[in-house]
Amino acid sequence: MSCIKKEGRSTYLYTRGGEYLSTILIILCLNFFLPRLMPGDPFSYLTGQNASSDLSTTLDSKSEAILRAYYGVGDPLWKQFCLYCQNLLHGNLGYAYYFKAPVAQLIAQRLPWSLFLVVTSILLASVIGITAGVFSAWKRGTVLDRGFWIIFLSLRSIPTFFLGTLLLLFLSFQAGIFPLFGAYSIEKAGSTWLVQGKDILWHLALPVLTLTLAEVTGKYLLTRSAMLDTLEEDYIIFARARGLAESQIMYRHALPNALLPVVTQIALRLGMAAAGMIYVETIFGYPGMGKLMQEALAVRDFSVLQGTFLITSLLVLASNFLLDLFYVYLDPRVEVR
Amino acid sequence: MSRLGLIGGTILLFFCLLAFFAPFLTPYSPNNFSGQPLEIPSTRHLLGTDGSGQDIFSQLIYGTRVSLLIGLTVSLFSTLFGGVVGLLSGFYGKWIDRLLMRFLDIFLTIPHLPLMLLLAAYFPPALVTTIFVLILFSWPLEAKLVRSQVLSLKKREYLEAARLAGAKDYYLMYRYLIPELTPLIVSQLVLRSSWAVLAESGLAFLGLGDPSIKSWGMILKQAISYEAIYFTPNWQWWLLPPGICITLLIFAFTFLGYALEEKFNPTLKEGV
Repeated sequence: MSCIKKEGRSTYLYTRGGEYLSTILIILCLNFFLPRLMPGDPFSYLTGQNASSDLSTTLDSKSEAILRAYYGVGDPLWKQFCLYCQNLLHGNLGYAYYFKAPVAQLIAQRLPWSLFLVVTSILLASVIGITAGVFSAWKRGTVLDRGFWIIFLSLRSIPTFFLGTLLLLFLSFQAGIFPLFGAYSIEKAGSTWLVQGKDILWHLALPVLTLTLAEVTGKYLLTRSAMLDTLEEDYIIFARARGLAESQIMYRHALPNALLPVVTQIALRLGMAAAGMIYVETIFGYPGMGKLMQEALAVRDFSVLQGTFLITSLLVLASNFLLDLFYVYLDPRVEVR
Repeated sequence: MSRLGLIGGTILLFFCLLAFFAPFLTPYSPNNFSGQPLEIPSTRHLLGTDGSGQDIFSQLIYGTRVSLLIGLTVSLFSTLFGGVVGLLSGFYGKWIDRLLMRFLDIFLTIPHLPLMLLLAAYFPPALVTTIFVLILFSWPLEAKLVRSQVLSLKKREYLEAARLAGAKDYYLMYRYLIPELTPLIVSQLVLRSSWAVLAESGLAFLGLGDPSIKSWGMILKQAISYEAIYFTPNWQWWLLPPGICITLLIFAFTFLGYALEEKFNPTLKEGV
């Protein structure tokens, strides 16, 4: 029996692994073909011949030589693709012609800040959203449930970039409680780690608050609907028939079962959190990947846009894959869908 | 619940009227340099002027047109295209369906906004670019919704009966499936419009938009690009109004969409 189960699990993992590989392949193809399929070659955007480059990014001869070598200009397409993959495997994501630095190096500088910001916000949003969702499902149909539902949906009506701007305007500029810009104060560079740590957290506060508020509604709605589904199951009715306390039914019986689909959905929507990250980092001048994307967009630095897209996608995929691994061991019912 | 839907509908109607009567309500054309830069509100300029001396009130009213146009176009096209693909895929199944499902899985895991930025950056900043990118990124979700609905409808007995009586595929779809799908499609049109308005203003905010087309997102972006905006009182009439307008419109779409969903589909749980 256990043997069969184990086989089912490994088939599941193989299938999922295949899905991840094909996704990665598609992302690579997108990144490879986009600059090559667009009208003109990648360089016409930089030399000012193209309509969109009224942005006057000039390409000096050194950068152009590096780029021509990187793209393999002049080689047949299949050779270019091999070169592209070879470069990627060596961690070479191309050369940023505006920033005058390798893309991989730029991303490596920015990535830790983004991870810090996004992971903190997602965890906070999940805790708040799931707690509120359980509570709402528990008190379903009452004024409290309605109130929660309306508040969370109204919250989602405020665009993330407007919400962030308001918080920055009122709490930083008007009230002066939080810093105006960046992730740390330069003048505190020589102080003790305790002072520096406090400084970093102080800079993180508003970006995390904004991203948490942006992400919380989705988690709330998911949990609420998963809980409402679970509450109709027979074992809940049985638990109620046994005379268990309502709180015990909610947290011991319903929540663990409702949580699995919720966690999967949260993982699936990690890609959406990348959007919030771009807005939040742009507003607060937070030096992460999102800010890098926005800067690259403003000067049309395509190497950076492609590199950040690739890394963001791979990170989302990797976290999904890790979660899949956990999932198989958490839930014995997992099979190939 | 229906009261909230009513409020949403009223707000939406109000914005539609604003958009329709824009030329009569505004004293200037939104791109006219009708005053000095950064004027404070006066009877000549109800919401002052922006950094280049254009009337903010006129921009705001005309911005309603841009937002509603984008909401309508994107939701119509993506629902139409996604609906047809979803219907065919759910109805015929087999390899078309498997292919679509694989595509959807991949599509859903890829982070959308970074790819949108990458894609849109290749095209000249124009309204058409924004609309094209938004349709490209929204039809798969419509296809997924319609497909799953078709799958559950397909099992109904009256459909089987009609088929046994000799009904052709297109007749089954046209006579039975499409009418059954209409409620879903209507509420989806409203919710998709809300998404499109939000996404457009976001793209404009990040710098992907035609600066001469003053959508609400573009006004907001231009206000923030003016460096002293937070230090001068101008934010009150330059930065707040477009943000509040976007929020109100999204609010209206959201609650109207959920109200429609609930009304047409009583078996559906609220808020799902």
